Amino acid sequence: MTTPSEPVLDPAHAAFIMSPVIVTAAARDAQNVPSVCIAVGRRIAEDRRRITIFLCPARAGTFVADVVASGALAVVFCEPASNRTLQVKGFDAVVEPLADGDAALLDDYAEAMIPVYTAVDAPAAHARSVLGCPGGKLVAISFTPSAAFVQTPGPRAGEPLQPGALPRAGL
Amino acid sequence: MDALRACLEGVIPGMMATCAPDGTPNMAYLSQVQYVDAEHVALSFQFFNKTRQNVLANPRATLLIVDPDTSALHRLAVQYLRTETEGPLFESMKAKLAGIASHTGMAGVFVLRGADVYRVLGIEAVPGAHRPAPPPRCSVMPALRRTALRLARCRDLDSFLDETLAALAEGFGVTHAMVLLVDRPGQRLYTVASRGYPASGVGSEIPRGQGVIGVAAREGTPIRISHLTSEYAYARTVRASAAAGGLAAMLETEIPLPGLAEAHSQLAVPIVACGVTLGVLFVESPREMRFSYDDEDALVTVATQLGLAIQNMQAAAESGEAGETPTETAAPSAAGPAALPETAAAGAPCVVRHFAADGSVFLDGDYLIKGVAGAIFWALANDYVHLGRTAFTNRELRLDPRIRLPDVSDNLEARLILLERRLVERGACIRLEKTGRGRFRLAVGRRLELAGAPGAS
Repeated sequence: MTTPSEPVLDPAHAAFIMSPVIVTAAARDAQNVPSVCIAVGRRIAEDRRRITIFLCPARAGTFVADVVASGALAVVFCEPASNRTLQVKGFDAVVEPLADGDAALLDDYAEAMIPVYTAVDAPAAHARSVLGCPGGKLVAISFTPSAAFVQTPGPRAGEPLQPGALPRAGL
Repeated sequence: MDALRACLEGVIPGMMATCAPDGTPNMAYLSQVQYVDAEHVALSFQFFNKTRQNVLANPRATLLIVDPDTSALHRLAVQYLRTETEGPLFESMKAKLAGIASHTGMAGVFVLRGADVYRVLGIEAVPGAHRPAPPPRCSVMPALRRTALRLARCRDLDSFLDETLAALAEGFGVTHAMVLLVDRPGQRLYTVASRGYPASGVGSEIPRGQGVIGVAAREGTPIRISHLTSEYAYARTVRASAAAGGLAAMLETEIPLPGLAEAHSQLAVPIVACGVTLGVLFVESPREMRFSYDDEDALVTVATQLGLAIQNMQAAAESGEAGETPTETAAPSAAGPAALPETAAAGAPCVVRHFAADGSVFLDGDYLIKGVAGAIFWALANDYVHLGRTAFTNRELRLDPRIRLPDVSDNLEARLILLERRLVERGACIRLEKTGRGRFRLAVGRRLELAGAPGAS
């Protein structure tokens, strides 16, 4: 994939990604059998040309191996209270070491996600469980967003992302 | 999948990964994962989206589902098999989706186009620190056993219906319930018993195919909704649409349906025997997500016992009726048990008016019943007044040309229960009293006057 001249994501999209949203990701193996996992955090580069998601490999199944083998992944960012949802695709994903500041970033994310879950009737303990990682060893996977789509439920779901705020559900 | 059914409930949606033929993965949230059987699940197909395109081209998909009680995650390897656009699975998912849509502010957005059936190829438990599972609300199997034994002691349909509803209340904490039976050719169901409502609503009717109860009857499948939804409200809205569709004339509308004003959970289970849907056992609750898959299992089992009982008791009543002719006759003045209500106008006649067009019967101007039960009552009243008869058999009523039962296999006993309960509820001066298998007597507390009126028979 070539790097587009303008980033796929605009500042509003980047802000949405860095707000307290649930991050989930999909990859696939050589036979196109998909894998799926929940990320425990995310980071976006200042120029918006690189997204990093953080995973607990013990809970990610074959996802990490699939990404390493193909570089292809899809990452969904969802704000459950509003159903606003964004999907980003990448084809150059690689595993990277965690950077300075990532640990604090992940702590902040986990803390911020508690009210997000409780707002949709899931207890705080649910957030801690879903975002927990047995053994504590995390993996960072970084990729260039090459395409992005609206995935908020409604008639516009699946459309390529337009600049500005995501549509509300049903619109 | 049996052990994971709880993961298919709850407020936390599942996730689904698919892959296009060119190797591009895709992620989507699932609004509904339906348990089909131990090896199959069904997903709601609502939009022609990337997920849809992908599974049609590459049927392998991976789901991630969450146990709402423990937060445990499970990964399901699945393979797309087919899409169903009608029938029991489709209707069951459509109703459930209506509840989910309403709950998540997606009413009008979430519309079921099809039920996509997947084979479950493998299940992987995701390791993690899970929350401890809460203790079960009630232990279903012992409650089911107690219920089955309790019902096994019933000797007639009347007590079987009441005991069923009492057992649901005492064994399962189900405080609002009703039994409706199918009026087979009439495309409707009539309430024959209820529990937990200010008025029993016995005799009220709903059209087959509408609302939770009507759809469960038409499809012969349980319909369970865990959230408040106007789409499947079975009371006013259903009957309003029936009226708009020209069904009002044939539908019992004088007797209000029992029911909660705002049911947040509803479960309608068909009563089936020998492959035929005889009626619906319906329960509801003001609480969201009140009824689980386990409750559905229990209710299906109870409804099956009820179905067999209805059929067996009908057969027994008919065999008991065979060859018997009533011999008892009594003068009207001699009839009237102590249970009959005292009336201020004792001595004044009770005016019975019958309208042949719809079979409706009025006692002293108050509406009693219409349809088949109305025709039965009118025949009994005529025989009482003109022939002085008080003793009757089910068998003679079944053959009586004045009654015109809609079907040879019509459950006459249930019609009599309905009539008997209406008479009691209205405080009428007439009662039906069982005198043996397939036999009953008419107990009359006041003189009856069969009044003619314009349009009356």
